[in-house]
Amino acid sequence: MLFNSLNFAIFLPVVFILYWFATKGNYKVQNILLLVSSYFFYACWDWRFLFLLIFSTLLDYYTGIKMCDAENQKSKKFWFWLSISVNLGFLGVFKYYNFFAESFASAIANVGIQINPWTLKVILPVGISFYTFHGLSYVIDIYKSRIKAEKNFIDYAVFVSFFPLLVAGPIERATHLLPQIQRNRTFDYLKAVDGLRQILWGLFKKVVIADNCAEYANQFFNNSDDFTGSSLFLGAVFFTFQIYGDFSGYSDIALGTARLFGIELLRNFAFPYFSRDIAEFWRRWHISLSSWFRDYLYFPLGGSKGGTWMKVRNTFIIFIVSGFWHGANWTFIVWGALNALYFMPLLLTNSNRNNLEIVAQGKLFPTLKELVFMGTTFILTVFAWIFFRANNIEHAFNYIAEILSSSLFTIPKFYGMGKALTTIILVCIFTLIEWLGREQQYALAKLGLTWKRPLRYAFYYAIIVAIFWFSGKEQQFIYFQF
Amino acid sequence: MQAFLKRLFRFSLIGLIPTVIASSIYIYFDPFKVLRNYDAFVVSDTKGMVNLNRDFVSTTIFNNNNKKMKYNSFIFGNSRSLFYLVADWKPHLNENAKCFHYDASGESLWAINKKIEYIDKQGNKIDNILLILDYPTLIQDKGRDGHLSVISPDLVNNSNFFEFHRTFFLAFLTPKFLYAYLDFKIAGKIKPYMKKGALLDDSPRNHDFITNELRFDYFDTLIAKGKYYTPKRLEPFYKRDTLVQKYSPLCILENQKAMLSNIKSIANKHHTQLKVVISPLYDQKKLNTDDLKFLQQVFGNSNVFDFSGINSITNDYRNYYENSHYRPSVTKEILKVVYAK
Repeated sequence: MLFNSLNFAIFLPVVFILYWFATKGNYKVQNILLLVSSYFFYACWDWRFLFLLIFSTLLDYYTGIKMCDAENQKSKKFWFWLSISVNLGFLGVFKYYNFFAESFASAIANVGIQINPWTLKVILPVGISFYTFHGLSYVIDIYKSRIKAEKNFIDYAVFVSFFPLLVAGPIERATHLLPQIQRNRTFDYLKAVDGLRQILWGLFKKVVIADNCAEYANQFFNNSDDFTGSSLFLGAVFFTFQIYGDFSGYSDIALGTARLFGIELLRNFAFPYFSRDIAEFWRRWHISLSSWFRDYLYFPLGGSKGGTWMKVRNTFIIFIVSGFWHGANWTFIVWGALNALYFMPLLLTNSNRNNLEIVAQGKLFPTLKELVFMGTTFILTVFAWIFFRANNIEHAFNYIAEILSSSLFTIPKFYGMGKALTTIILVCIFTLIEWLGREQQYALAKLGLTWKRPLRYAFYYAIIVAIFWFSGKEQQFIYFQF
Repeated sequence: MQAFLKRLFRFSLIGLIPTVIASSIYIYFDPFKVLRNYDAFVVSDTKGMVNLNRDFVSTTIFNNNNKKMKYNSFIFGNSRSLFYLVADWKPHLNENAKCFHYDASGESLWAINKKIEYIDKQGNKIDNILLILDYPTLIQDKGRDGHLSVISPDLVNNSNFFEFHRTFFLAFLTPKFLYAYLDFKIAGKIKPYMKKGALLDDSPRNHDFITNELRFDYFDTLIAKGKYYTPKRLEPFYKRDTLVQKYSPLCILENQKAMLSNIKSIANKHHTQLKVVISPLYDQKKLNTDDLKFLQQVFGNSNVFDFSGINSITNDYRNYYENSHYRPSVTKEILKVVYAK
């Protein structure tokens, strides 16, 4: 069930009405309803994988309790490693097995040994990377004695499978989400309206920006041999907006939906394309994953405490692992490594925390210096996204080689140029609204709140009309495949 | 909570009022003729009409008559294939041939493949296929957007039912169309601005509701009288380098290969006499050599006829109505070549 589908448009109001009216404000009943709804939501993709989700939930729930009850460190360690191994084992089998098998076969083929690797013909369970990381953070936090194990299975299961975040995050922490699940939730008018506004903006990002950009990004990336450098560069820019609109749009809908149920989820995006350097970009892009890797990988590896070499090594590790988290393909690994490379000059000059505040805070326009830095960071991310989108490494290098050729200075030519112009105008309007709202949680959070009601309504109607009028063709969310 | 629901209801209601009015007009008039079943899509003596989705018209006429007619001979292609007249084609086929023009505007190879699969599924016998191809048709390996090009839901198991109707409703709501349409309804005639963007049209035409043949005889009458090629109508005929042969880029890629092979396998199943014509386009670009080789490899050398490139047809602008569509006088000669014993 996609957020931008008719099914979800029926599902959400039904659950919302039942949640606030049929449960009489009893949070225990509300949690049961959320769990049943979440499992139904997940089963709409593929009911068979629901068993995997339930098994993973039961495993972490049980091992969590066992760790808490363990009488000695050895026993605690056993249950901890059992949970980690099974969780990563599932992820490894479903997501990475074929990659390793094929990579191994091609590596040994280089020394003249031909083998035909046995590969699995299974589809990737949707959201497996997200709910596995939920479970992992929970188990690690218990092991490190940061939290106590949750004894109520329903509460824990809702934490893992709450439908707005189930398939593509944000990756929640038990310390943040569980306390909200364990207490009474009262309806808050302002929060509910804010939730609807965020859903509206998320839909606009996904349906208007991402889906329209997808059409051209696909055209250029799928037939890159036929286009000039200028067209391919345009294609990479289209993809840059596609992936942002797609994923941050999903996150906005998830956060807005959760808010309708009185639950606050972790913020996942903070206007990353207005970043002035790559370090700032990564503090603003997929925040829940970046902070997950920081807390559960970077810090345990020693973080930046062990001198320059340690910092460099750890930075490369988290970026490469983060790339690999996205998918079993060398393109994601190179994408991660390239971002680590971008990060190095900042790290080595200790300037990776220079830009902590919002760009041009309290001002309408950025300074020329800020504009140049934002432009440079944007271009760097555009080139990095080429690896993310390309079919393979060779494809990415050929794509970039064509961009860097003299054909970059030609006028782009492609099928559907007239419609592309409309998309470009929409992207410009979108960027402008994002810029105006960059000091808020999401662009529409406060934009227009001081306007008179008719004007404010007209603004929202305009967005709704745009969603229907300009909706693109692509429907699947990119991050569902991860 | 009640305040929230009340506000939400009021917000939705205000937004719904114009939507309901627009929907009512749309449903009542059905400007694109996609909401109700029609036997006659084009009324010959009309003062003008909304341009319709030819794919949908073709499919509906096929569905309406197929049980009775049991069509077994089909012409596929984009609007250029319209001018292959049944009267010129039928003499080359056996006497039991029941011909049907299954064309669509801006037709794609993808949609041709869907149409052939659809006919096969209906249980028709397919004795003859005339595939009118060109680069723009071959390059398209997926469906097209837009109310004039979106594929008929019947051809894709209704999987695009909502998308199909949404496309038409949104096309109706386009200010440009809505204004022109309402003006046409009130004035009762087509004004020049309405023809821009292929919204409405008043070109005289005859539509055969059995063969689905759409004829524009009026233009040929004008040509015969020497009144057609006015300076305005000559404008689109741009100058070409008629000495150096240019080639279209490669367009038969993996997806296209699969579709063409699928068409061939269905033809094999029915022992179909399948002929492929590469249109003589005014741009004089010859179909890519590798593409032509592939077509010959799949359908056989003797069944593929390439009229693209610099030749006696494409050299003479009088073989065309404008720089896109060639005339029935040309198609008649092509058919003679194709079906020469």
